Amino acid sequence: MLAKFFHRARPHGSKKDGYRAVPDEIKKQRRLYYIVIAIIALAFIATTVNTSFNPFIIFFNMENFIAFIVNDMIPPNFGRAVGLWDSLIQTISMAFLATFVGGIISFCLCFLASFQTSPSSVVVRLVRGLASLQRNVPTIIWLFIFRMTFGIGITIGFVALLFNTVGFLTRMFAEVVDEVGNESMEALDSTGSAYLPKLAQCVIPAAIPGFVSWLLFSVEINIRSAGIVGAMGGGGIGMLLMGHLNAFRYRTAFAFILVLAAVIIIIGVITDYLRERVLSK
Amino acid sequence: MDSATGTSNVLLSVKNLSKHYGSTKAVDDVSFDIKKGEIVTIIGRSGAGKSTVMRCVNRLVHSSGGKITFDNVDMASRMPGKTLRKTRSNIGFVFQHFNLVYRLTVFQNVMHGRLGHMSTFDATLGRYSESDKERAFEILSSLGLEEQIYKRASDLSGGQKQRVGIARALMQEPSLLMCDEPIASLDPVTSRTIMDIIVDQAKKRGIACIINLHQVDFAKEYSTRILGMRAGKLVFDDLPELLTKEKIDDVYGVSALEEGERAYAVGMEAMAVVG
Amino acid sequence: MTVRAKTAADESGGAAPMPLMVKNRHGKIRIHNPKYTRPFNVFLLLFTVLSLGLAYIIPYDFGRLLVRIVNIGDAIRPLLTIDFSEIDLILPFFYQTLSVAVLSTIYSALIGLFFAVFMARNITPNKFLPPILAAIFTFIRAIPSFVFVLLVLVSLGFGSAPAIIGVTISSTAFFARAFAHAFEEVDSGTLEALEATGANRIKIFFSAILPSALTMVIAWLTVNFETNFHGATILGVVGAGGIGHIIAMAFGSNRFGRAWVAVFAVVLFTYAFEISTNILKRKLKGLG
Repeated sequence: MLAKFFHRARPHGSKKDGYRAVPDEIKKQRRLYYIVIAIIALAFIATTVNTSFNPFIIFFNMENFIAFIVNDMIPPNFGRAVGLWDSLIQTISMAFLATFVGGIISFCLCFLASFQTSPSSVVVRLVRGLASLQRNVPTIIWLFIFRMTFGIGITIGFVALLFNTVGFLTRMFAEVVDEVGNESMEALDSTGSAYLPKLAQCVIPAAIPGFVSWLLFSVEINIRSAGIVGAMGGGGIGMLLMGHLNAFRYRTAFAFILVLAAVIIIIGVITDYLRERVLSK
Repeated sequence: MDSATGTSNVLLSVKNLSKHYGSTKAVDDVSFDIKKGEIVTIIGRSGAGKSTVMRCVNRLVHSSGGKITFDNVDMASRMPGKTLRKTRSNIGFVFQHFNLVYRLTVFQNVMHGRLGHMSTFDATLGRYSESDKERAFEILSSLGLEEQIYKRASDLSGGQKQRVGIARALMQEPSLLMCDEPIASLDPVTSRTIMDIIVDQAKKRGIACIINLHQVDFAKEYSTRILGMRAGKLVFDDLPELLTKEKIDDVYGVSALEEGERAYAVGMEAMAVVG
Repeated sequence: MTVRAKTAADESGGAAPMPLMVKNRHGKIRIHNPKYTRPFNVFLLLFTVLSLGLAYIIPYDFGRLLVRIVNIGDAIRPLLTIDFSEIDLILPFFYQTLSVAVLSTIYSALIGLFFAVFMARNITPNKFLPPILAAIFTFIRAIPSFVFVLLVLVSLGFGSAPAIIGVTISSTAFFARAFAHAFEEVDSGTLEALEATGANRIKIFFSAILPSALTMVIAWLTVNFETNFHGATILGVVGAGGIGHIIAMAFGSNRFGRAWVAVFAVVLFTYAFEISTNILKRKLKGLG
């Protein structure tokens, strides 16, 4: 079966035909795929050994797991879900505010991070590197740092989300600007326009759909992250959820989980719909 | 036909212009003058250097050597940004791919032509004067676009888009108009319309014109003078009537035709073997 | 386009009335088209109002934050140590988290592939399966993975197995949807032709569908691996072991030197991985 797969990847003929050899490019590509598959297989073996993970545990323990869910978590207990709706609003607020403020900051920074509009490529790499740093360091690390210095609660939850958002949006906005600028900027150059007018009259109008689309996506990401951030002390619904779980109040916790999931789904659907409309314009 | 007197008549003077990309010479020692009111076309194969020459004139591309005098400024030299912008605002440029901002209306695109003439503050905020707007409307009407002014640039046909590009260039009230293959992306009928418009407007407004073209017949029909380029060198600079078939071959290089024929013959042989 | 010639002519001091198609507002000629600009203006306005409005009613404590920022020196000083001494103890935990990420990615890809076959509307055996499965997976995707892990932790105990299972669940939802979409994209003509030659479903899958999607698959694998690694780290914090656990413990016991080493390991790895995937992507683009 594998042979059939590779057979289709060849354009025509092979060494067997004695007529043409396999083109070098295809050989290289195939070799690359082999290497990738080999790496994956190796990683699989090594890590399975390391964790002595037996996938069939799942089937054994599935019973336990399902039993647990059915017995201990259903039906969800909304009665004792104190602070459920308040914390929900807090979480939503965190996500929106982080996106809003983050959007503004990224909007200002992105022009420095784009090859089209930045004064020098050194600046571009610098800003992109910083943004990358903010993205790669997992949110929780920021949270820990802030916890040490500022305590817990929604304020620092917001700050953690903000850092992540700025890192993400600066990069994404910069990519939009990269794609969009080019030809029309050349035209404006030829009319003798200065730098700022070029940005304001050409780049920004053309980039707005892209910006809005990423902004909406960022809202979705932040709502998801807000759950985790909350669980680490960032306030909102995540924090209360963690609290109930730790206190073995599973039924109540389940109520929280359901509400969180519902919110994520709803906001996800709304943002997807808006993004489609934005991009089609 | 050239009287060397009346240098005040010369709008653009290019001397020994050259441009290297690494070891390749895109433009090799090109010299020519453009006088007021002339309609000059540049013909040649793709890659002969026509585009590069144009872009060197308004410094979208930095030349490697030579002198370009326009408006008492040497465009080939380094200069402060303000001077560059001011000089550029006197040169209109029409692009092959129109280079419009497609999300904006036709009207807004045309107004961009004034940005080089406004203060940075006004330009950034888009504070165009009412008289500028009225003039834009005039230009658009004379190009037949008065019904499209509030449409998005992306909603127009190719010919209409190029007319917007031309209107934008005319808004600058330039003394020189440069068109880089303005009709290469258009169908034959629309091409003729656009050429008519360009030459018509140039004559009416007294603007000198340089146009890059592939179509030799258009060049002969519309221009007062033809420049022929081949592999970066200027091989023809004279009146259209004097562009004989020989001269055309010279510009486009007979070898290209020969090469094509040879490739065809080789292909036929190869097929004979395989078949 | 309504024609309002009167206003403009009057404004320009009674000049000869031009047949204007130019709209006026405040007497100034309009150059943009409100039909296009209004949606965005409305959106921006709503977004701003929503964000600021929500923020207003929530008891944020920015005052305290600002005060703390000013005094940041005191708070930062104890953080500024780094301690490589116990790195040999730390690395195995890193390996553990890495393993969780690798295994969950692989398993979720395989399981997702399996489900995708039933989720793709053009190759599913039963018409009712796709919408049901899609709904289930959307629901699963909405729940952050840490919830699953917590549930598994609570029901099955600690260790890397729960972590793997938890991460696999949400990762599977992603792959199932991604693969299903990819299957649906395959040209129906190709499928028909293959069926006509008598090939059974499995053969179709391997000969026609898989090859064309290969580059996309690699992209998904890499993205998901990063996400899963990120997730596994976070889960370590809540008790699933691995380097997240180390980080939490170190921060909790104020051993900041160790904490930074662990953090550094994570960041370094993520960065290195991102760079290598970029290189891989470029190579594939060049040859593909």
